[in-house]
Amino acid sequence: MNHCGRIQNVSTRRALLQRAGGGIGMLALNSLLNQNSIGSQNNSINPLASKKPHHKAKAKNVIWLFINGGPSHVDTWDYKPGLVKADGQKLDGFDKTTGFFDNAVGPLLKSPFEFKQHGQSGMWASSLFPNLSKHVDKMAFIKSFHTQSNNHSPALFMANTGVTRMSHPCVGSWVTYGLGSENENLPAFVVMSDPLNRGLPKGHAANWSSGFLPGAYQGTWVRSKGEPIPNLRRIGELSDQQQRAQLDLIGKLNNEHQKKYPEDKELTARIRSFELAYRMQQEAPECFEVDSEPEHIKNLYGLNEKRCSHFARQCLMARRMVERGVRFVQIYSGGMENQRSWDGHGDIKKNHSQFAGETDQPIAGLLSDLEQRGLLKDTLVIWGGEFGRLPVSQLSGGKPTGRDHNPHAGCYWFAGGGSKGGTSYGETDEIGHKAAVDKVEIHDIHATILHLLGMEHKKLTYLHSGRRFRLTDVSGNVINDIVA
Amino acid sequence: MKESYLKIFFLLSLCLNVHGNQNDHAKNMTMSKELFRNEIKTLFDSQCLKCHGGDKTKSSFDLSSRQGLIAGGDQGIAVIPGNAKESPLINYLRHSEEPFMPPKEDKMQESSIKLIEKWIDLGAAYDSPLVERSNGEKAPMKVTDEDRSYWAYSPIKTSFGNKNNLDDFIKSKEVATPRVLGRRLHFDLIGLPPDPDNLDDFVNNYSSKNYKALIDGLLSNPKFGEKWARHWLDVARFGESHGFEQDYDRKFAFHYRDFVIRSFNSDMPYNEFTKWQIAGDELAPDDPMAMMATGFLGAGVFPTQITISEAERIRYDAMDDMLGTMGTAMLATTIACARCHDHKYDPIPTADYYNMLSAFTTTVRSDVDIDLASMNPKDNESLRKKVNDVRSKLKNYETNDLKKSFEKWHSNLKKDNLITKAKSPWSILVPEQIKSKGGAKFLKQDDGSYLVTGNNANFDTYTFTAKNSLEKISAILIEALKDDSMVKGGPGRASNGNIALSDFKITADGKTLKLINPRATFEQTNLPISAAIDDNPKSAWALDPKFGKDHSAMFDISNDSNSKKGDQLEIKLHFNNNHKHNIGRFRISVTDKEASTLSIKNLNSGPEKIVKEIQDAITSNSGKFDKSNIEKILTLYKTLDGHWNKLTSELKELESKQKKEIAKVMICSSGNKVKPMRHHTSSGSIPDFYKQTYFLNRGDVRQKGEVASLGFLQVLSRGTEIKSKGRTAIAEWITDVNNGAGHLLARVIVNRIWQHYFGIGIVSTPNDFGFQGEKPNHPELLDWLALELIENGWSLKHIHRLILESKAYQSPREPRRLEAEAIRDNALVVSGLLDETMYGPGTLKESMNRRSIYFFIKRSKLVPIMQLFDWPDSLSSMGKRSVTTTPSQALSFINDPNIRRMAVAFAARLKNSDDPVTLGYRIAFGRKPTRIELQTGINFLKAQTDSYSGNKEKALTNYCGALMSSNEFIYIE
Repeated sequence: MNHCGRIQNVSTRRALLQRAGGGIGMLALNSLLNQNSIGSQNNSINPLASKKPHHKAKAKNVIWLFINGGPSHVDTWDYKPGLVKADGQKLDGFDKTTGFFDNAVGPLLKSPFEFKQHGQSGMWASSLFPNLSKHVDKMAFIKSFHTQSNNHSPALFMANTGVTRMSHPCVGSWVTYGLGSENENLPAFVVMSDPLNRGLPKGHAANWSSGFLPGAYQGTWVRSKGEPIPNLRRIGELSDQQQRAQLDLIGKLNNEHQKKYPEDKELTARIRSFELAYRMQQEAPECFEVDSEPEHIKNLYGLNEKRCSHFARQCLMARRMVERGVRFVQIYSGGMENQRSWDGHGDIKKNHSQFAGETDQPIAGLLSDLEQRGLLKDTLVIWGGEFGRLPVSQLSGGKPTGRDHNPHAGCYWFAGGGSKGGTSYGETDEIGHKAAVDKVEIHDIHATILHLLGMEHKKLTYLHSGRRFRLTDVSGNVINDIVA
Repeated sequence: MKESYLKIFFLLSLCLNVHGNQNDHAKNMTMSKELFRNEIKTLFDSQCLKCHGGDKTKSSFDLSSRQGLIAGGDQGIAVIPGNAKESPLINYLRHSEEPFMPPKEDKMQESSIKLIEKWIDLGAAYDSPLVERSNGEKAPMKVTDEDRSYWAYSPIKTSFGNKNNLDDFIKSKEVATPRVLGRRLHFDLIGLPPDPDNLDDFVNNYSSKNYKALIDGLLSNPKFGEKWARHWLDVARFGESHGFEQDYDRKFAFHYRDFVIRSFNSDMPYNEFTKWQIAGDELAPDDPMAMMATGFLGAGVFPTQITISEAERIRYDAMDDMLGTMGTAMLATTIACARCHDHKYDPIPTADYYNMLSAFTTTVRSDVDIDLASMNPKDNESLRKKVNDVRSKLKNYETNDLKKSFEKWHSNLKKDNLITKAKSPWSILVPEQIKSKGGAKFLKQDDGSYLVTGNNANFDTYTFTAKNSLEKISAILIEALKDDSMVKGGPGRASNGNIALSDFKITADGKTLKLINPRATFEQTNLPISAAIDDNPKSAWALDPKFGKDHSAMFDISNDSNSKKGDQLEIKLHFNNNHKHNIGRFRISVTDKEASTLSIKNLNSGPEKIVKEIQDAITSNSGKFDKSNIEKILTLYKTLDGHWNKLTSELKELESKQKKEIAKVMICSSGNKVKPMRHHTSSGSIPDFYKQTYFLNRGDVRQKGEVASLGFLQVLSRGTEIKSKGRTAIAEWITDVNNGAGHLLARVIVNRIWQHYFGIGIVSTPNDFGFQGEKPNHPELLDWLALELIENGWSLKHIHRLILESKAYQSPREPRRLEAEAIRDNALVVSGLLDETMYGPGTLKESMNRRSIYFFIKRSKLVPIMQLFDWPDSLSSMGKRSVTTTPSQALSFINDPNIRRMAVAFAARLKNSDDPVTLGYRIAFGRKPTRIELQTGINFLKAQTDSYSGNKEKALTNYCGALMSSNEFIYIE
């Protein structure tokens, strides 16, 4: 519970470090409240105009693959030999209210998947990822993630906005508020959710809400059917020429009107917005035309594989977007809860096999494709969800086959965008129950995302109801070890 | 976090540095200490300490000791001993880096800053801490009189020199044209455009009298409430779904929105408006408006699926949302910032937070049935007329006829002394036989009742048989009568004098008569009279604690069961509920009178008792009835009068019809009184609220302190007494202009009104009047308006008038963009599609033609067109909307099917005109086109018509679409 600007647990060590940091620390503190460059609150005239970052950016764009429902770290990337040894044992002193179901706690359960080391870096990956495991040298793992809630929506809000409650802007909104858009013909921040009728992530649109930031920074939710973005298609009754004539008329009326107020920037901006709208209408649909991609690219993503074609399509669309300058793309894997997302309460093997199967090849394809186009260096790809899962089993029909939510541990990886491939940061305890070494909270991940994008997380602020808010609240440290 | 090697290097080098020059170091420290004693101490004491370690520890920075100075605060390190150049404090003091210190004041003198620099370079030594305290703990925040003198917390100025109207405060010379003013007034007051003809009239007959008349007209237009309510809904973070996981709809939350509209239209005094939103359920539970008002407290989000480990924190979150929103909305004070620690900037100790929070301990949301009839007098006009008719008939009868009727009755009474038989509607049943299963004996009494003696069985049944002597039986009466032979006078034989009649049954010639409509003179808690005719043999009617009194109960006999004259009646009284709770003296009567003419009221005393009282009243007046006793006699008599009873029951029936507008309403009230809306969870049960509210250390429910007890913000209390309980006390304090927060309450609302007229408030941070907010740019004016509000019965319309009639308001101004609602509503009016239906449930359908305030606010599915034009997120209080301009907005104007639909309708209004361009301009902009505009329009229409091979309507639609897309349409001067 901390939301009013106090630094928590200021240890002497940290205080000393800040002090010792001297010049470096000063940079961060300098013009902490200076709003002149980015994140200016007075940018209503053109909220999405491109802005200069605080420092040289390593990444221009972000694709966040949101592994929704709580992916199990001990079954994916966090190999735990200790858990194999302890398989079947009771975990002494375990707090039954850690997960969601306090009445179905079973013994410790080793991963049903086989782990192997991969690549030059020798990073571990489970057999869930036959394709992605080939890319571990591009990945910077965070294996000590932990969060504040054991419940989906608060944990989702935490991952996206930095607080467990509704009301704060999400990271995509903060990023577009800070940097604006690179391509005004496309939305700056795009969200794609499960297209297979398995629902939206818990908490729905609040996960891509701009909160108290202006609505222009809201994530644009791309519909999986019909028109991807509203109002992009010209009214049927108008030909392009007829609409052009209509727009010209609007321009004339507005110019006539503005003679009285030649200095009014808002009016000027609105005149311009119609021209931008026209261009957007001309150019944006092309961005969504995934089918125009050559066959070998489609195959690379697995677009023709039944089990993963939906996610492949979204990954490919994400590449087309970042290629065209969309700042922030978020794709949710899975819908709501239980068997509809990575929420493997009943049968972790079956559940994770299915969702890994839906995403392994598409994400691997995305990484390869970004790399071969030279886009990976500018594009930060993130894999991770709201929390990890418990090393103890959840009983399902009396059998120890599932895993419940675990707020104490989870894992993430970054690839590209200035992250340091083939590294791993932080550790969980021997059985993967709790983050233990170099613990990372979501604020650290957010701070690192902003850092790679060229922003100081402490400087990106917004004045609302008497307080200067920031994405990282009063916490957040850039994880320098995973920065290239 | 792993520290970087670079940082370690710095750390080491710093340490080496210090240790390497130990001699110099000691010398410097001595000099530094000396400097501190002579100079720095005074500087700190006078300029810094108050906020940083004295009464307050703002930004967590405490310079009262060297330890605190070096530790820094929320902004990080402030001072690096030995290195003034790198110490941010110096930059703050020089105002070269924010936060400037001291804040909102002039810089310290350069010579002083230089001294501090030197002192830091020498090592920033203290000779002793500036404040004595144990264990280096931070001092608890003290709220001082100086805090109370801050502009927002101090009492309103009451003298303004010679100034007595708004123009004395702001001098404005220029006045906008009547056309501009007419249009401006419409959009500002009702959020809709003027009718073009009315606007022309206004312009052609412009006078200051007509200007005022227009204001009056618009203020009394019900659309005024629809416009201004929306501003308050922003502040109240009003939404109609729970948010979080499932985002369930709150189907009955719209009543709160309707309450705000109605209140603004009726000019409900603002202090009452405020009180009711905080505690309407406690202050006026019978007033539907007061109940609807409490929707304010519950308008925020509410997680519905939670885990046990989160439950208590979530309850504190919910209370925080209520208190926090109240503070922000009503007092522009960020009370919620004191949840985890004393407020960083404002004088609000965390103790104040929890003391106030405790007022919300049991407050929960609930959907309850409320009778809204009194709110819709129009809809009920005919019924109300009938009620009034019968009421006046009754009154007539009482004044003119009742006395005659009494005299007639009285003369009959003299002839026939068997009064009970003569005029009571009841016939006492004379039994052929009474039997007791448990061996009791029955002794007949003079008044027709039976006294029970003999064995008092644990569970007895009395069986009573008699012949029916009436043509029919419409109701039956059982009286349980007192008698000195029983404990406490009875009427029961139990050890405390109680009865417990578990079942009462009657048959006529073996056929069961169905008993309905049970009523009794008294019912013991949980043991109602209805229990005597349910089919449960254990439930019963009982009378604790009303012993030693006569009681009666009656039942109507359902129309579908009948008994005729001569039938053999068998009545059974069962006592199966409690040991020995058998009736000790009873009487049973029946009647053939219309059941509706019988009321339990005259049972209270019994008809013969009334007759006796009447006789007594006459006897004591020497056998006469005259002026001195007639009133009393008639009051007694009327309950025995057939016609009076008929009229009374008719009136009652009509009144009961009148009350039949029962609606479900989402309110907030005590969870002890209403059924709380529930969370659901995996297993176990999660309380809806907890019995007590505790002080929490750092806002953490695992770190509980003492139980909090009701209190207010100290900085807004001047010897305030707590006179009431719970939220009522908060409501009284917040509106109290003598000792409470009333003055701030008034300042905040007049500032909000000002902001909506001028685009920016006198205080430009409408939700924060605290230290982090802006100061009023015209403090005197703010106080004058606030005082006007208070002195004029808290009438908001009075404030509207003051502003609207001022020259400042009438000045020319830059065009301002309409808000989302007004943009869409304007288009609906112009297209002729507006549906003016007020109130009731909203919808998510964008094709709705009602005003935009009637959109349903579902938090996960905000209406896209509204959101596009900066609708608030409805998650937290929004004092001022942002105004953005985006290509997506432009796309909606040219491509949104709903806007196209409006353009089609607009075009249809023009198609039969000889001069559609001029008509279009009058409708859309309230003016005629210029020559150029006219020609441009004509040219466009011609070219487009040609392009559509002569289809004029499509051309007109495109033209109308362009008019609605233009800046003039959504920017109002």
